[in-house]
Amino acid sequence: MVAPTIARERVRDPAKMRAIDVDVHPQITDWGAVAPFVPEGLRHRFTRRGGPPMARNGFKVVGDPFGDVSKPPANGNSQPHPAGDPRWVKEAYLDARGVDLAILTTNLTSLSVQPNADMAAAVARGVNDWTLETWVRPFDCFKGSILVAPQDPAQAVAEIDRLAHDPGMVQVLMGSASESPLGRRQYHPIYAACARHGLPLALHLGGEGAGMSPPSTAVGHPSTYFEWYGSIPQNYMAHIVSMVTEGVFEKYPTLRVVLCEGGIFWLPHIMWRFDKNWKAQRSETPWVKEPPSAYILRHFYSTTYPLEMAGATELGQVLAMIEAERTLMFSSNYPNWLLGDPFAMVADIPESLHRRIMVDNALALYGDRLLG
Amino acid sequence: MERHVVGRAEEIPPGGRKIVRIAGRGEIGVFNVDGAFYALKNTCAHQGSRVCLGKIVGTALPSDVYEYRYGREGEILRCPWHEWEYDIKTGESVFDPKVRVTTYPVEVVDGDVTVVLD
Repeated sequence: MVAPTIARERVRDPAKMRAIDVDVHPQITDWGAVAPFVPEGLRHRFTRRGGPPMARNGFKVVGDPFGDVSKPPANGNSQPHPAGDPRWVKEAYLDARGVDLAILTTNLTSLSVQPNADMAAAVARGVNDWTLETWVRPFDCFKGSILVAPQDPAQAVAEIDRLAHDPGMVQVLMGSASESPLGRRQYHPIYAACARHGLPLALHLGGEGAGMSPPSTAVGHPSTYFEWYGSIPQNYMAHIVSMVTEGVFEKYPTLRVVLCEGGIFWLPHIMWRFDKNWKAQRSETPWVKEPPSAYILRHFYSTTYPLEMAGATELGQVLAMIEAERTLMFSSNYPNWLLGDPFAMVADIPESLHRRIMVDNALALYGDRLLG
Repeated sequence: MERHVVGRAEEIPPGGRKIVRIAGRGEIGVFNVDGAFYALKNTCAHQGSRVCLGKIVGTALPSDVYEYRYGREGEILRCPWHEWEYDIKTGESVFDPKVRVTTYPVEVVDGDVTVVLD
């Protein structure tokens, strides 16, 4: 497949950048377009009846999932998806709102709990090449994520190795929904591959409770979307504690993990409780040599959609506790603006931190991969 | 400098301890680790419990991931309240040397175990 080339002035001078959005979701509106990128043996599953099987939970967004997102003009009776066309996303969102670069994070958060491991790996591979050819190569405002399915870590590692040197890819992406806590050793080869290639690992909430996932809360399945969405950050809490206690960052000290769409106000709680318990309970995991909060602050990054809008004073206190001057990055979660405008969410961030959160922290994390 | 005789050396064999109250200074525990004597104030750095009543144990040594090495048997004092672990020889907690139980020098003079108080 030959990609169209579209000339565009490259914005690669860090000093001139206004915003980097680390969480933008392209929508696959036609699986037939992905099928050519899928290995031949499973390609036929992508062209029939709406595409490959996807794990789902039982919930549906209440309200307009796209909020204030600019929508493309209606095409007859159908309303085109606001994230279906890269040119629309570029012009109606990035250019209109002053965003220089967007990191694409697909829209397949439940792929990580799809029961068929080989199908999940085929989807990841097909979507990765589709993303590169239709979004990243034609438009230099987009960077890609290497989507992997952790069900079969060997295939996930092979996919990372296949694409790690592609200049369009800046990180590895996995749904945070998983069969097990992400610190467990079966996942370590994925982290080894990330570390080997210097690629951050982004996790994204959304598949919790679907497919092979455990219930999305620790006490069982929620009844409603409202209950589900309000409680899913607890999955990040569990994964963080698991990854630290199982020694992931002792084994892979250069690994960095981005937590998409989780908020931040719960982080100080987990750091404090975890540190306190470590003083007495460290003997169970003697490889955890530093207070857990030291690993959390060094290895985890958070994103601003949806940042808690608690007022400037309270926000400033939490930003200080999580060392947001290094660890927080702007994200829009485009086009899913159900909770509000992503720029309104960062309006109370102190001026002294604004540029770091909008631009500099992402540049520091992703480095030359964003500038190339 | 104040010196306080805790007892005769043979009263505190290796692995043993003796806790004494010294007027105006509170309680002090004297421990024998492999024939050498160490004195610790009987106050945990955490919440002030009587740490010298804790078990004398070893500890899980810092290790590689998924490796387990137990060592320093007889050198670690584990607080009975919340199980913070201290190095009997230095008073330092195993998780942070800045978190420590107060220690005192000990001398054995003519068989008398003597704590030196400043």
